[in-house]
Amino acid sequence: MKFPHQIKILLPLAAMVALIGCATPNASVQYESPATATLASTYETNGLKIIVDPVFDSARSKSYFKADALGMGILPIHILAENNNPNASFLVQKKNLRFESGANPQAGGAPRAVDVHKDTADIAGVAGTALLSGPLLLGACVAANNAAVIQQNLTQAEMRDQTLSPGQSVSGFVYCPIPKGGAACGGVLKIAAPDLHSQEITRLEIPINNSTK
Amino acid sequence: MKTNSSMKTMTARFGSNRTPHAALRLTGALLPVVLLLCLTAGCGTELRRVKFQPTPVATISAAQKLPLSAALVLDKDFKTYGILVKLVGGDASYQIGDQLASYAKDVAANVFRQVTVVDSESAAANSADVILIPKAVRSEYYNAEPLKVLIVVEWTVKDRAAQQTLWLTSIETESTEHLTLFGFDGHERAAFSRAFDNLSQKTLKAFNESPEIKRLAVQSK
Repeated sequence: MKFPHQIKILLPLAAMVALIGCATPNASVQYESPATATLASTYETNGLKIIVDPVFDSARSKSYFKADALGMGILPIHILAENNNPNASFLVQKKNLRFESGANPQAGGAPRAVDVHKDTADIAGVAGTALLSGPLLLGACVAANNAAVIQQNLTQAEMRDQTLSPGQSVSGFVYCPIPKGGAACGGVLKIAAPDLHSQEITRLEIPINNSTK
Repeated sequence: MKTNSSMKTMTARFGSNRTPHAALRLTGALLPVVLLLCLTAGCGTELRRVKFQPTPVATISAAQKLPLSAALVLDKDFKTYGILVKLVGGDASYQIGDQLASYAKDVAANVFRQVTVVDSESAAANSADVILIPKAVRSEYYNAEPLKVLIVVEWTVKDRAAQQTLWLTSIETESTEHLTLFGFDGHERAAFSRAFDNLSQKTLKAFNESPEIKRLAVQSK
């Protein structure tokens, strides 16, 4: 029997739509050590050492997250926190981190404080909305798939809240919401880490610059 | 003749002027609509359950446990936690609250000498030496080849008045399971079971090796 033209096209298309969501590139975040990253810088107060590495470069962003984070209005900053104080246990929590975009005196512009403690799911939701706006059904399916991968990557790479006992360290990304297109101006990352023994709070203010610009 | 009778049946079904060829053409025209409906139908969140039970941690003797009583806070958010999976045409929430509750009770019972379960932090205040608050903070489930489960549980230990944080840690588990042609449910159960078994072991290790928790035990003596 001779099949009509529509059937010939639509049946393979239907099969593709059904199968495409099931094939996803492996999500793997291989972070490059801050020692080799050009913008990484080190700060230490009261034995709490912080190495920050903001990812302004979209190529690096794509290699970590399979997405241009800056384009989505997110500045990923990799943080390595080490406790070199033998008498303190620092509590490192994302809710105690704040990013003031544009607050860097070298960058100029009015400061705008935002919580770094923004839910990764929310961030990924933004990505998902953008990616899912394609008009084509097939395109939408692929986009949903990509959004899932991006979300996985963001979640996997995110810094976890942790108590840093003497000698311990924690590392991972924090995601700073920034105005779209305003990433290059940088800002200041403010960290407040209470010592669980003395309840004293160690504060660091770290300028975040896109010095390669 | 058989062919003729089939023709008659098809003609009767699709109208006197329609041939099987026309029927197929009609199907072809309707297929995109049906496909679109299938993909967008049920745009809510479907609750799904994976039937698995985490392997209980090997019980240790009372003498090996911390000589402290603990109030374990298992609130509604924790007990009804689901891993949200975004699908084309709707979301699915994989309910793992029961298993999370079992895991938390199991871990707490293997660290502290006496554990009581309460459903809120306010109910826990002043009821035990320390207050344990587990919270599922991140989760991912990728339900295609390879299956991937990621769960992050944050444990906060507070003083008896629930005023001061004594210790906080985030425990992360990830498990990957490769699919074969058959037995998807079995692979799914294996991925979740392995993730939970790993979660239990890592949590126990974190409690047992924490200097802050050890200090609590010393202070209680």
